[in-house]
Amino acid sequence: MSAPESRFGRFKKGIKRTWPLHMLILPAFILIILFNYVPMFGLVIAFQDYKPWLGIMNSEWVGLTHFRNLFLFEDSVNVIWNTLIISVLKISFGVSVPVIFALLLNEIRNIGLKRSVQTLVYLPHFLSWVILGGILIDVLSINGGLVNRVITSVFGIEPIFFLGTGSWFRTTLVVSDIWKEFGFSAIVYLAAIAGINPSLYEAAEVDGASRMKQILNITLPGMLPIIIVVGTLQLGNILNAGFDQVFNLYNPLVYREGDIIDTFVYRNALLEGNFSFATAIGLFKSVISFGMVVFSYRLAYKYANYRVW
Amino acid sequence: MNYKKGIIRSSIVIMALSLFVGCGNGSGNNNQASNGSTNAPSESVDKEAEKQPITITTARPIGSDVIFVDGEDITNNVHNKWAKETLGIDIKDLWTTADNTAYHTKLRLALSTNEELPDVFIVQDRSLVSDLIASGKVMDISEAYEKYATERMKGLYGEFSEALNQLKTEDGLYGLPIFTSGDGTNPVLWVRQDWLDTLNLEAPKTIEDFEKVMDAFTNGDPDGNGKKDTIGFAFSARENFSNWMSDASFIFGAYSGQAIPGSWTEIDGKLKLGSVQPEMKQGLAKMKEWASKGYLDAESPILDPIKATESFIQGRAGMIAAPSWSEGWPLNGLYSTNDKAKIDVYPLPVGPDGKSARFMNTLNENKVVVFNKNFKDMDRFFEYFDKIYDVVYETGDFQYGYFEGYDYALVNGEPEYDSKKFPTPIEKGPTPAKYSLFWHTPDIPLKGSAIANKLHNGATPTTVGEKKAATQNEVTLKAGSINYDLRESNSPTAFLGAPTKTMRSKGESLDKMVLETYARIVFTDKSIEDFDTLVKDWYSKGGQEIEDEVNAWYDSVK
Repeated sequence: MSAPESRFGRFKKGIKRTWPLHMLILPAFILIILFNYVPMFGLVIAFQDYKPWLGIMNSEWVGLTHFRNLFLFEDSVNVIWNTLIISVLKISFGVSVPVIFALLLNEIRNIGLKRSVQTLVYLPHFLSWVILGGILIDVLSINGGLVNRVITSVFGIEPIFFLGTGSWFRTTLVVSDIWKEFGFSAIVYLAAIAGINPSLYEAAEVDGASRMKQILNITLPGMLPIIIVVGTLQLGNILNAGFDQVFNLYNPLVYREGDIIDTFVYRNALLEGNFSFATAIGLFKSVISFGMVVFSYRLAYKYANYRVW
Repeated sequence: MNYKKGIIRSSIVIMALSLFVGCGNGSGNNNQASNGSTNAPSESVDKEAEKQPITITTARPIGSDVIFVDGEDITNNVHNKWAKETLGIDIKDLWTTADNTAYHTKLRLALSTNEELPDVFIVQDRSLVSDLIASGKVMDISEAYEKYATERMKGLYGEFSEALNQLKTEDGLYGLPIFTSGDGTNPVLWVRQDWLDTLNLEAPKTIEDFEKVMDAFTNGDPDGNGKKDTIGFAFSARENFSNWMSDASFIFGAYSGQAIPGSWTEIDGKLKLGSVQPEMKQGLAKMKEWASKGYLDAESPILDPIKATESFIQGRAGMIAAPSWSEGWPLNGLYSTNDKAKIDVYPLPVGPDGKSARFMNTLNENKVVVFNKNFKDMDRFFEYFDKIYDVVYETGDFQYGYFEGYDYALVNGEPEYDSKKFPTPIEKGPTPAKYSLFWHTPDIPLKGSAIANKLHNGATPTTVGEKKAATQNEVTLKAGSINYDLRESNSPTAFLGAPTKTMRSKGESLDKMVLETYARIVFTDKSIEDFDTLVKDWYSKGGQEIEDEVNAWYDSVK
């Protein structure tokens, strides 16, 4: 390119103006390179039989053995299946519930009530699953736990062993996770709603649209870009079904329904310091996640004309 | 304004440069270079100081439980001074960390980055120990042990020689276990004495009695509140049926006399996994019966060992199997919910043929001392080791404790251990035991419960150890005494080696299968006959290889 003003020339001019901004971001940039990109080279141990005292340079290469082994485990299919089911449930409810909640909250006129409800509802997000796990075991207990007491007195049925019955465990996982997160997730959607041009509502009212029609035709479409972003990011998480939560809640009675990839790898890698195997699984999950993210962006572009770049 | 722009720009530059402040010697945990030099000690206190002065490097975690007096720290303290003056040993810490986990992580890093390891150091992580041995960086001390270990040390390690298996390979011995009290996590039976009294019952001696007592506790309304809200026995089935707290191993041990779930035991000269032995089926059948009759908490599989104690503490369960010190914690929580409750302790119920077996951890809680391959002063180490054991044997300079004015003081010729009662009282007593190379005073296994046994049976305390033990409350002494009486039933796992090849690839799935089957048989409608399928599956899906590998290891260290 031999334009009179070369690209480099323009670059130099731009830098003169914006160098403070570049300096501002420099520390974060260095940190990300150092701690997120450079360690990626360590991924090679997924293809080795890594022994800590030999280091990366001297450990034996085993190619795709670990990846093959993942599928040779008896429980592998079961574990992957559990992960997918739990993940899909969490993603679908994890997006729809906060959206509906945001819409409902938006309809409340009393600002005080609106604020206090919102605050109360996003507090559980900050609890760790270690604490919440202990609380849930008590609350869902079949020996006088709060939930079962209500169930037996109101519905007159036997107490339900939520955490110990295979058929209830996944439901318990999903419901408790949504309960914990929906308030915090709704914040983003509330912000999106607030950003919608009020004159659209006025025009709709003039045209005789009911409140419901307004929500469906103005609010929801206005939130759509945000919903798509969040949904896309969540799809990238499809193989993470929530290690913290499952680890703190699962138990021998529900291994079959509740064991996910991460808890499986945790046990197998912890037992013998099998770093290579754990890394291989991590790499496998990342590749799939990457694929899912690209896939969902393509979908978003095709159907919602949504571009991220 | 122009100068405003300048301020903004310079503050941005400063912020960017502040990134580098963190580099360099930021953390105070790195490289505590010792002030002491490696020159000869200043005075010859006795003949021993005329030895060549040497340096021993080590590393350790320093938690909040390590307490120093003013002016002392880990490099500069009464213990290191003593070592230098009496033994000519200058102890240097290459590095320290704030806790045990960080310490082991740092050791692993040192191993993988080929950093120089300390001369003498403790490891409390079995897979790290086996990695260290496999790496060839720790010394084979079999010769040094033969040559330099003192008579009483050889006697001690001879008596508990199984503990050495953790560090043995075909080629040699790669370290020494550091003993603890040994049976500190062995279960004894804790019972609501007030419930026994209300229902006019004796404490259970056999499994049959045990069943009757559980029935009475579940159906006899022992707390007298008119509600059917009590059960017989609390235990944890979340990670294992044999646990250090909230244990159920003795129920299986009552039928086998030896094997318990989760442990490897020697049967007819070979090591076998307790979980798949035929007698376990009887234990499972009994537990299944009890669960269906409501004697057990159906939530046991979701409760971990600590959470399972809540049932006893909240007054729901009448019995629990827990260590001998449990009345001090956590079972004392019961008193705050119910100040009329009485807790008493009894031996574990035995089986129909009088058999019994119970859970036991390793004698050293997996704590071992290993040595850098290049360490040249093993003779001096064994000298030091023997001197430290003076505290335990109550001989030599350390007959009362470590150092006067630190962990004890002489008041009218008698040792006093409460630092607040010293001639110069100290609020928070320093802990010189924790300055040593071993992080704490090593112990003689089972000594504690032997003392409790003596005292409980009426002896007057004479030795220092006995006097200290006499300060415990009555029920804890009784529990310790029972702990000693039950020592024949101890069933620690005999497999102390690194995880074998098949254990690494299939071991975890097999463990999961066993635990799942056990929990399902007892608490759901899975049939007891599925136990036989479990055994078959265990052997065919990798268990046979594991058993062969374990026995190969056993033969190599026998």
